[in-house]
Amino acid sequence: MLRKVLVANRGEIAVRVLRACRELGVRSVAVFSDADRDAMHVRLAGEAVRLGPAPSGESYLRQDKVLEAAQRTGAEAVHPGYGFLSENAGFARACAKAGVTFIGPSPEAMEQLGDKVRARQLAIREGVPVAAGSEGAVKDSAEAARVAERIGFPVMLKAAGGGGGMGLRVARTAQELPRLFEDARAQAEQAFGNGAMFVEKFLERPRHIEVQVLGDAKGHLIHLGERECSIQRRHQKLLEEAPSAGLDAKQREMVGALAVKLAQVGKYSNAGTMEFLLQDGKFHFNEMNTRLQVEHPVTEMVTGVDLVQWQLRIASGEELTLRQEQVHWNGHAIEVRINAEDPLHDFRPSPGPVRRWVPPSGPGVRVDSALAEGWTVPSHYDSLVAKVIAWGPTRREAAQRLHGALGEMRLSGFPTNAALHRLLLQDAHFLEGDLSTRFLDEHNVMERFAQQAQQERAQAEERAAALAAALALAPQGGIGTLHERHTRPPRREE
Amino acid sequence: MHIVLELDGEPFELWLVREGAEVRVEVGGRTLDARVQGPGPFDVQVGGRTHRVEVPDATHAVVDGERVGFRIPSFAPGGAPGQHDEEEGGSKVVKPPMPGRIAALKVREGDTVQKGQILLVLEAMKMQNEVAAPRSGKVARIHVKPGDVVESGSVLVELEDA
Repeated sequence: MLRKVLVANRGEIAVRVLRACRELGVRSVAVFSDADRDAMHVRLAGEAVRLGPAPSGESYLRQDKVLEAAQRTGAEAVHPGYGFLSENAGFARACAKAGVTFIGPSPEAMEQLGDKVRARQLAIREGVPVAAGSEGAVKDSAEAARVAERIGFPVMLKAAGGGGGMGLRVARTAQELPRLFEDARAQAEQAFGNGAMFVEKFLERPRHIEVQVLGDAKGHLIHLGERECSIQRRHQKLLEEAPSAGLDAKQREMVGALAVKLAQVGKYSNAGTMEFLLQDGKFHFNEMNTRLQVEHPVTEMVTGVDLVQWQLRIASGEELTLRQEQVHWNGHAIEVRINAEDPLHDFRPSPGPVRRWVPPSGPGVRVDSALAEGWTVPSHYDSLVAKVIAWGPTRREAAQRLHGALGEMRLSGFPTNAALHRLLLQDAHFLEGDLSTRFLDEHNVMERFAQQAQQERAQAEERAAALAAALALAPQGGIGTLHERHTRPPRREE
Repeated sequence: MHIVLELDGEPFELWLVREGAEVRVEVGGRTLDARVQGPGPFDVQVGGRTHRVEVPDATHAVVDGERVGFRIPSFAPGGAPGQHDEEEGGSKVVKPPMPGRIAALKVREGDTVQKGQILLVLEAMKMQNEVAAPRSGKVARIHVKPGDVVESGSVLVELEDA
């Protein structure tokens, strides 16, 4: 087993990896930016190294600083988490050159399967179904237009190196295609340094189904079933679950086999995820994420397999002793992403101080977060602050348990999307399981949420009025005195 | 009096007028009459129901059985409900909707802008957020430059009548 691992990430995922290290008796090193000096991952690690100022370009994305920290502390391996350096083949190579193990696939497998165009070409060659479209990259908008005429509008214009909705446009007519193509290409070039574009038929009402795969260095690969992540806003996942309510056992087996086949020909090892779109009973390979994913806990909850421990064990050179027939699925798990964002204002980011944090708990409830009262959510990184996951024997029981858990949770100091999740978890259409990536639009979820939020705000205003009136009439002290106490500059601690 | 009351960090702006044993409270565009009973814990009748309010110390209250932290960051005596209309046509001082980093400026000092016109782009949590002019006018001063990190209360841009 590895003796010491550096976790090149922050927030809840750094905490998740540090816990796995502790459980396996592996010593750990955290890295942090100036914005994360007091963060939980720093506290949980055996030692911690400062990378630099708050912006990620000067801290968590600095490959040289991360490797220097690994060498200085004697860490043998680096776990990249998700985001930041996790899908950077150049970083994986730099690790190898520095004699540090990168906990993930080989750089070659990352390039083969992580590049959308190359992965699509491989899928076509191996007979894994993809949406109709160009086989490889198209050289300009004229070629994209010819492909679109052949497969029919609407089409998706996608960047080979894209992600998170960037470098992605839907063209509905031949007239608007050239402009959208150039938009997407310019965005992808700027964001990912790669302007290669390809064209796919746009699926109007797909379900997002993804398959977790796990493999060792010797080529033993298995899948741990699917997750459904159809509930999205602006191409970002909000709620994920396992298994999918839309698959039967035969489809599960089929899509699992497709994922394993593609991972095998791409010589993939460690943990990864194959994403598919399912529409009208047909699967279409979408892309592969060559790393651990945010929503991995739902798979862990239904299979009982600890994915992060396996990542560390495989990186240590251990064989994956778990065989496909030993993987069983028990019950249902749902995860919600609690983000520091304001769903009433177009999901705008809302970083701020954590005034109150009471995580939910109880049977079948899991919370992965890095929150602590008195800590401030920095504005420099993504808005995910906690994941709340609930397991139940059935999908309905899991949804009900998660709804209850969110009702018990207290998180204040900045707006979050927690109340939106509560509405979703009680929504009749959601409970029916008839999902698609257009769910929020199809069922007017945001309009209903705005109405509900207005009522809740009115009730909160009444409570505030009651407290203010009581303070105004209180015999001693009174509001003026309290104001003075609350705004007096804090005494300096020397 | 005019107060800002924060409950667990969530701000409420209230105007209070004391009328004997009653307090008239304006909040969120509504006028509520609050009748307060008891030396504490208080039973406060507001909006057709009675709320039980306890104030165990100067920073905590228990409202309807739920403990909340409270702060009063702003207090001004006097004033009366109905006399606090927003500055006509929107604020002249532009503050950021969230903390973040200035990604780009779209106007210069001296420019004439229309209400809703984009003044600058603020980057927070990997998202680009456009900050628009709350009113029409002339850009009097710009207090920030690209790359600056700003907090919620800081003044970004000041506008004046064109």
